[in-house]
Amino acid sequence: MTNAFRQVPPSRPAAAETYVPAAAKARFISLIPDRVAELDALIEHFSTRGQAPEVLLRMAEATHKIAGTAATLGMARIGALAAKAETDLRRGLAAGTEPVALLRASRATLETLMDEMEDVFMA
Amino acid sequence: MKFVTVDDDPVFLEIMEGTLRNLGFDEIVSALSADQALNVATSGAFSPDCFLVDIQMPGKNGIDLVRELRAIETYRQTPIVMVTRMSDKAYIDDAFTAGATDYVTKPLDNIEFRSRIGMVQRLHDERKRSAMLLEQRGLDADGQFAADFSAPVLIPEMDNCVDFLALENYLLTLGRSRTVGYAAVSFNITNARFFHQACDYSVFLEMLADVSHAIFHNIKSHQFLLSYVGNGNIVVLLDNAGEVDTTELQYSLNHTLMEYESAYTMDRLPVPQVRAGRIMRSGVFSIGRPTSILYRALADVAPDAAHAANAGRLVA
Repeated sequence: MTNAFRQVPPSRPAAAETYVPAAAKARFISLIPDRVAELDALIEHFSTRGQAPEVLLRMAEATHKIAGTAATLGMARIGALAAKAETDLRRGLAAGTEPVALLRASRATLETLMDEMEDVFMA
Repeated sequence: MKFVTVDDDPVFLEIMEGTLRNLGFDEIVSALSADQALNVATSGAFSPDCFLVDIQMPGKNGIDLVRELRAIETYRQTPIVMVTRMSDKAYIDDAFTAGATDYVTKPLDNIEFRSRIGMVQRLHDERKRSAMLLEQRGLDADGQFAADFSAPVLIPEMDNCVDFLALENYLLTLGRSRTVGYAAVSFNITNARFFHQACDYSVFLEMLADVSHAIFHNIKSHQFLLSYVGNGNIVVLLDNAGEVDTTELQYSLNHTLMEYESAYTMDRLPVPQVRAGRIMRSGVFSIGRPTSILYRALADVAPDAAHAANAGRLVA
């Protein structure tokens, strides 16, 4: 049956299952300062240099990268905040929302996201 | 099996690479962009058996990458699994239409990921076996390997034409709630066996392309995917069929094919004749998996075809 392709294969030893996320998690945490700095720089750039929608798109791309990876590594809250920020920014851009108003609406989520990431890094 | 993983996040690449190594695969090349992946695929130094592709990447996105890979003969049938956070239907539609084989959403679930990689491994093994069999049988006059009449075929250079497996995965990815209103209809080319037995394999493929073009022409107002499943049978999945009179559709389809009559007559061949089945719909109260409409549609034109497709025979 072709549908059998969707069946779950036999399980593997527990130790093998946890290896990958642990290694990648350390790398993700080590990159947190860079990622927070990137978001900070984009917000700063937007506020001081013309408030261009392209900068908001780059913010959406930055949060997109965080969203999928953090959630896969078990950091559900960071994943959810990043996903919300990305979705809000992309929807706003697609709907033609005025850029300053769009960042204002997403700012709280972005700030909380950066705070939560810093907490994980400091822990 | 050799993999190319594509994602703009190096950490996610590390997750995929580690997971694949953990599953026993160690020939993996990671690419941080679509262009980097294309360079790897075309360099000749590494010939991947599977691509794992993110969608949302700066520059060229993953869907464009799939389209470009499918245009390269070597990768026309290579499994491509999208691994993405994008779960909107529009992305799923675009990915499968571009030629994706399967679709996995982030966050990546270890068990689910292994299951999909297991599917890719079986597909790879099956194709390898088919290729060996064809090689043993030898080339036809046009230098093509002729597949069995019962074998599914990916019709060359046809938009919206996908593996039957991809068609199933598309419906499974969308799930029951997002496939309500979908419909499937099958077509049987009644004289397909003649073309397979009496002509070069390339002529058989051209005939399949003509019939597919005629189908596209007659149902062009709908969003759809098409798959040739072997034995002269084609199944078409429509995302909203509306009211379709299949008797009328069969008539107009054969009428369109008659426009090719002079070309066929010149080669002393009959014009392909097509029989259309009934439209099978997926409703709110439908029982079974979302893929069941495909089997019901196939069974309507040829009970054997549904059985063969269900048995998981793969593209030759």
